[in-house]
Amino acid sequence: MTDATAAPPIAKSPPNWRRRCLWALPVILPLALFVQAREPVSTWAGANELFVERTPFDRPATLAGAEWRVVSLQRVAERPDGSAVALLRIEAKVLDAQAVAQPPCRIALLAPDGRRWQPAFLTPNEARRVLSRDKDEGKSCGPAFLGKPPVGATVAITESFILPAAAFATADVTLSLPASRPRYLRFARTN
Amino acid sequence: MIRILTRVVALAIAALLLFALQQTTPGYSEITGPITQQGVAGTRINARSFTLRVEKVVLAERLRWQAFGRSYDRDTGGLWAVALVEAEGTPSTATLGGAVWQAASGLRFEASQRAEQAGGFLRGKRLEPGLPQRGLLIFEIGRDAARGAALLVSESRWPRLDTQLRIALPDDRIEQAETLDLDTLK
Repeated sequence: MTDATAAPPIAKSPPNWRRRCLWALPVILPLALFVQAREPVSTWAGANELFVERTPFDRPATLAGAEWRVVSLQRVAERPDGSAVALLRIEAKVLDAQAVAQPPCRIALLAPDGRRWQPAFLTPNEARRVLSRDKDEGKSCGPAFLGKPPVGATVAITESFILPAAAFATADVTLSLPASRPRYLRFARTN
Repeated sequence: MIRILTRVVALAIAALLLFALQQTTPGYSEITGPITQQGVAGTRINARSFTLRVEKVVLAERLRWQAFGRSYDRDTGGLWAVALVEAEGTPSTATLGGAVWQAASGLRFEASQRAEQAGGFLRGKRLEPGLPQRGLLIFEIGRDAARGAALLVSESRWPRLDTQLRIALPDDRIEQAETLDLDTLK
């Protein structure tokens, strides 16, 4: 005799893998994109100045293993074509010798309207005369850190620029290093 | 039977589509090539990192200029094409690294190194924002490459994923001279 009252087992339908895979796509595609793009995005961010750290012009600020201070920004000459030669002197007190010595560091003058002047490749004669008068070696950012200064050392950096004379008064100083980017310092004339 | 036939047709269409995609996919060098910005001489054209305006072009048999306390003369088997341009870096300091004369036939002539000592030679010079510079781009071209040409100007010599200006040179912007004294163009 068999027990007629026992319930028959419920037939379980097989999982619908096609549907599951389709539902997984919205998760997997962005994840794959993220994994693939992580390195190039990080390289791109490390090469660009994206996030500003504003600081008053006359105050020191810390970035990428050094305490930076603008010593002076002088207009050393005006030319008949309306341009001015500017001489920038910066000091860096080394806090992390390795981070600060990674080239290339970028220093520029930045106008409020977004125009940016990079340091002159060859020091203009007008600036060279001032440096020679002040017995300043005039080392730009790269050469200044070539000797790998130790922690606690103060490094003097000099850069010269050619920019419109009218833009000199409002130009801020920006500074970044590989160890800081995408962050960069902006020594602002006005806040 | 119809169902099977529909599937076969769908598969064939998909294969055809994939083949068409494969055949029309641009090459890597094309994908990462220069981004052309069209313009015409006489107007100011903006590239990513500089602006440029071609004022005029002078075609000459012979060039003359003064530099380093002496006079230089250069002749050529073809023609000298001297473009008088005004350029400015914007928004940041820039350098004009690439200047090419593209003939109507497609032949390309790089800026001549034989006239690099001439004052005002603009290729390789720094362009600062707010300080537009007038200068010269000098080419040595074939006689049949003078008309219907265009100037290709870019920041780097071989631009990749960066603007390259393509400036058409209409006849009314082209002048002729037997001997061109470059010092008179500044």
